[in-house]
Amino acid sequence: MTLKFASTAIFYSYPFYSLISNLLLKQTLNPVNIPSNILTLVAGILLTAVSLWYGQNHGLLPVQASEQAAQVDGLFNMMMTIATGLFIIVQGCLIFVAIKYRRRAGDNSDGSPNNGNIPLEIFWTAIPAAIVLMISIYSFEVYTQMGGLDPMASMGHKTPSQVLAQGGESTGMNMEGMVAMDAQRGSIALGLGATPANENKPPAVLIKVLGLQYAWTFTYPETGIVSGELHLPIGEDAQLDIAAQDVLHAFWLPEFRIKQDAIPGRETELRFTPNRLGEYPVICAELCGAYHGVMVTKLYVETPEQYQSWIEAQQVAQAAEPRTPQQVAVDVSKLSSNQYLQPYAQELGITPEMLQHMDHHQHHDQ
Amino acid sequence: MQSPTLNSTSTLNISSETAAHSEHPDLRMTGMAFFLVAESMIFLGLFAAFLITRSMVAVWQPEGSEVEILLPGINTIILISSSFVMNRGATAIKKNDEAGLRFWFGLTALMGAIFLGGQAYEYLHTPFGLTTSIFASFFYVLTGFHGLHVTFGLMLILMVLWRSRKPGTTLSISTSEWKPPSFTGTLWMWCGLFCSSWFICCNCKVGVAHPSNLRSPNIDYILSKTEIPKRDSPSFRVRAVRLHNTRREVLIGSSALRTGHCSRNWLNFWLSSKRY
Amino acid sequence: MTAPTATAHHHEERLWWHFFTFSTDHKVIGIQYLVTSFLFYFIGGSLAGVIRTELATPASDVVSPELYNQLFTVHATVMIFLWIVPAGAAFGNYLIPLMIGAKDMAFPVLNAIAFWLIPPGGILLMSSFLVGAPQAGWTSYPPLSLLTGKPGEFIWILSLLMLGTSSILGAINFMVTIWKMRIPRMDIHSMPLFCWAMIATSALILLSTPVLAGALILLAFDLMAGTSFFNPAGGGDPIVYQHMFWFYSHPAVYIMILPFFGALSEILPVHARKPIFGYRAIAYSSLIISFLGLIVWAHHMFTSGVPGWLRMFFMITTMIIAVPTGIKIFGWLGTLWGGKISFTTPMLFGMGLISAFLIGGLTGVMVASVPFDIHVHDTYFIVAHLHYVLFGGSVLGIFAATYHWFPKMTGRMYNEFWGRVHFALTFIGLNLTFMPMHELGLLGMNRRVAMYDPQFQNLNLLCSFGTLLLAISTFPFVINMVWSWLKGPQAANNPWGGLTLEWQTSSPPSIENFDELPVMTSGPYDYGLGGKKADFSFLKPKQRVMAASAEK
Repeated sequence: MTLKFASTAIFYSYPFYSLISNLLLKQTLNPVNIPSNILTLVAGILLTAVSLWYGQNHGLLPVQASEQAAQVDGLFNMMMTIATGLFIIVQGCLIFVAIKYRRRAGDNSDGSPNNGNIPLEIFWTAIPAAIVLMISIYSFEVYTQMGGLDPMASMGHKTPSQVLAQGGESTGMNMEGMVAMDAQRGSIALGLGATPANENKPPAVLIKVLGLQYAWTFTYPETGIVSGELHLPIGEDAQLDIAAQDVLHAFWLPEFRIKQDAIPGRETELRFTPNRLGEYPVICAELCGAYHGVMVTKLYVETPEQYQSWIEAQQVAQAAEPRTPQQVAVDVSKLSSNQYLQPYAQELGITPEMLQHMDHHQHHDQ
Repeated sequence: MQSPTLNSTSTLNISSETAAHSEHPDLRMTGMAFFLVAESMIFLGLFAAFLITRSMVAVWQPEGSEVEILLPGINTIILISSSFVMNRGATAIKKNDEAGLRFWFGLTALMGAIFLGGQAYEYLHTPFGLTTSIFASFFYVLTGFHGLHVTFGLMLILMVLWRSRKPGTTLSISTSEWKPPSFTGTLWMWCGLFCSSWFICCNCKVGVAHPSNLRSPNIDYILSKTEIPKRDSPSFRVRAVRLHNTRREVLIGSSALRTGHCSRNWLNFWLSSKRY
Repeated sequence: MTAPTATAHHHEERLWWHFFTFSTDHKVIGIQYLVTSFLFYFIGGSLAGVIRTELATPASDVVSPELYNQLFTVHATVMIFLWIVPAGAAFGNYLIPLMIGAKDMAFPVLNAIAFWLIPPGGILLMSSFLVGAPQAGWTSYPPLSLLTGKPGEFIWILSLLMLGTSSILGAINFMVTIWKMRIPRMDIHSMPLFCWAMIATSALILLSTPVLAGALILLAFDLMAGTSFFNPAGGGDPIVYQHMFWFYSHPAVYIMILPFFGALSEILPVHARKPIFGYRAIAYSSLIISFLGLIVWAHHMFTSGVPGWLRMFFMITTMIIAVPTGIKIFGWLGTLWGGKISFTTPMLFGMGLISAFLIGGLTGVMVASVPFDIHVHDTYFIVAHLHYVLFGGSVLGIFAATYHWFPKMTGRMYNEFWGRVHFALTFIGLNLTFMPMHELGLLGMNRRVAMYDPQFQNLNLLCSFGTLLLAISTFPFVINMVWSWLKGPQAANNPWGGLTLEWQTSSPPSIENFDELPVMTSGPYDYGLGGKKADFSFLKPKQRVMAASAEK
């Protein structure tokens, strides 16, 4: 509701914005004729139309695979609309002055001595201030909807202080220093917690994610499955507890518009509900070493049946031979470009021969 | 600020042809003030790192090694009181009392040297090493950084003393130009503020820690196994005082530069001459 | 380095070798700064060329992934600390005393020391390639920076400490000079806007650079002495480093852009023959930007260890910065509006700056929004944004300023035609290189990768092609500058008809700048108020030579 209101307010303010600014410009800045009011109005409406159209049809974002992605895209589209409008206004002004106020040959006189206009300056201070305020409110709203401010985010599982408190008692440690560690104080997760609708509910699927040079591994605590790929059932609220083994990594799902650093020594989380079947890249977005570029894996969003059968298959496979995350991780630094590009080959229509050929040309990264 | 000026007998009397210059003849004090801003930002940054790190850890000082209190306490008192001694020296310059200057500055230098010696002794006798724990690391780096500043200030004082060995050189002073009391006063108050805020941070029992900021238990476990002196122990406070005695070298440095400015000496040349 | 002699030399000829000495003349130092920073620009640009060549194809086939990481680490470090920041100091040094009617900076020797820290610092940094350059990115986040190539990382820290010291010493000089050495009639509100910008810049340097130094000292201990300030394995916290690092490195963006905002405010009125529009708004917006710049740093850490409420706080402060920045852009448009614009090279670069920086500013507001930044953080969208700010803003500003003050610095006129060619190539190359990166980032290409998903190849090729244009664009520039400096036609003292004080003295200025104390006959931007008329002889070389000889 609020979102719609904010965006509508911005959209409708456009004609006024351009109209007022043009009128003001006419009165204060321009000693020569400028287009009549009607032309200005038409220009304003055109500007609004173009901005609105481009803001919705830029085609710059990948598909949306969760509700959060749709919210972020709504925010981006709104910002894109405003940016397009401002872009056209400023670049238009530049081109306009370049043509209209160019110095003619032989004219060595100065321009108009106009050196300021307080109402106009207040106007162009107030408008951007209002715009950024609106964007801030909208962003705040979206962030809350995404679960960024979920106050209960870390209540579902133990906070470090609770863990410590228990361990501390058993080892007879000094408790004095833990006054500050009151678990009742609102604790906010690093990352994205539950959406307001899911607050206070445990997630349907909980997965421990570990980032290490240069792989992501996923542990399903309920079933004990350890995997190098992430499988999630569609429509279920999933929580990823993200940790790093060695250096900083960042867990990024472009189609879900969410990202969170994996920080050694801390636990962060991402909670989201996939709503589109398919196969999506999982990318490391924080520089983690030479092979940072190949720290990529896949997220499969599956129907509950597919998901269940995957779980079962994994359980059977791993019952015989339990795995640790470190064993799952492939050392990509040992891969050649050929092997690295293999997953992409199919979608590009590249034949194995072509890859062979490419690989032939570079030896030094072996 | 031209070469002719530099080589004339009165260095403070900037050539009258440059109105702008004669209006603001003493720019070194201003420059020093800006330099101090930058210096204090380094310390502020380091303290912030210390405080944030502390706030991240559930148990900052498990039972561990105790640091002795007597020597650091004496050391701190010596360093703080040497500021007053230094001030006497500054007053002496104002009164054109060259012997007084030499005496008080010599005493200041001696006290500074005792402080540094004490610090060196302490480093050799602390039960923990640089990498024993994160507290130990902060302790050594912060006090060491401070000690470095004291050393630098001490060298400046010695330089002033060295130059004052010939009668008359230090005293070609236009006293009217010189306002160290107001300057040091400001500085002193500022440092006091800084110091007291440090005390509050350091002794505040309910830390600024937020549960969400906490490190995961394994790290705290590692920390709990290291030997760290108690935050509340008096010896720690004394060290905290010492950490913040930055004002010392500030005083030493600024006064030395001021004094240097007043004679035809290398400092003057260093800061304001113009060469091709 | 010789002791000063008592013979003062008002009209002594300055010879070429003076530029290689420990000179304390602010004009020599300014040119030393400028030429040095341009040399490093070409080095940093060459590194960028290798990077873009590598990225022309998805596979890692030009350099090894390790070397690739070294290249972008050194590229960023050079471009920031050895190109844009020193270039700002270059114009600060050259122009401030001239603009305020002083004979030199407040502390000339300190000034020379500040400059002479730069070449060793730069050479030290480049020498790291001999032992394996740093490869943890210019942000050098631990723990990665503690694990990759110790010697290279340590050299990087040492080099940055030297360059940071240089920056601080320079800032002290700028502050004191502007504050205390203006000619008596010049109050702060009749001071050129460039001086305002340098005050804001210097304040930021003084307040933020030392914190970086602190972080680097601690990092060096972690690296060399085995402490664990930032190493989680020993109880340290890598997030503390990020906070300290960005406390400097966000203001660093303003340190890099504000001087050229200032320069633009000088250039536009002169070439548009019109007073600056809203002097006080532009002046104070610099100070507001520099204040706000100190409280926005954690917007670089929105996906890092920063809790939600703090992300919201930094989002709002970051958004607010758009307001003073907008004031400047609109003020410049107002300056152009109703003027008589000559499309000289500095003016073209100046208008190019507004146009390109606008894009960086608009995407800047977008990435300030936390939910959106979570998606694009550490992607090519950020790379595009930062290059539109730093290339589109700072670098175009450096070119504008270089062309604008070239006649003052050298006493000769550059070639207008090749200047315009340079602008056209640069502007097209800039947009070709960085515009497609927005889309790359949004679609899912992360930054700092030597190997990428082949679906992004076409856009990457476009970027690489743009880089080629940028590389080509430097040739007309260098040839034009060198040839004009040596052989160009003599420039008049005031070829643009400027009203600020630096145009009142000879070109190049005499050793003590002004033979007699300059007098302010008008405000710095009183065009159209019966002040000096523009001298457009620069458009016809013959007339220019005649005007110059008539003046002498």
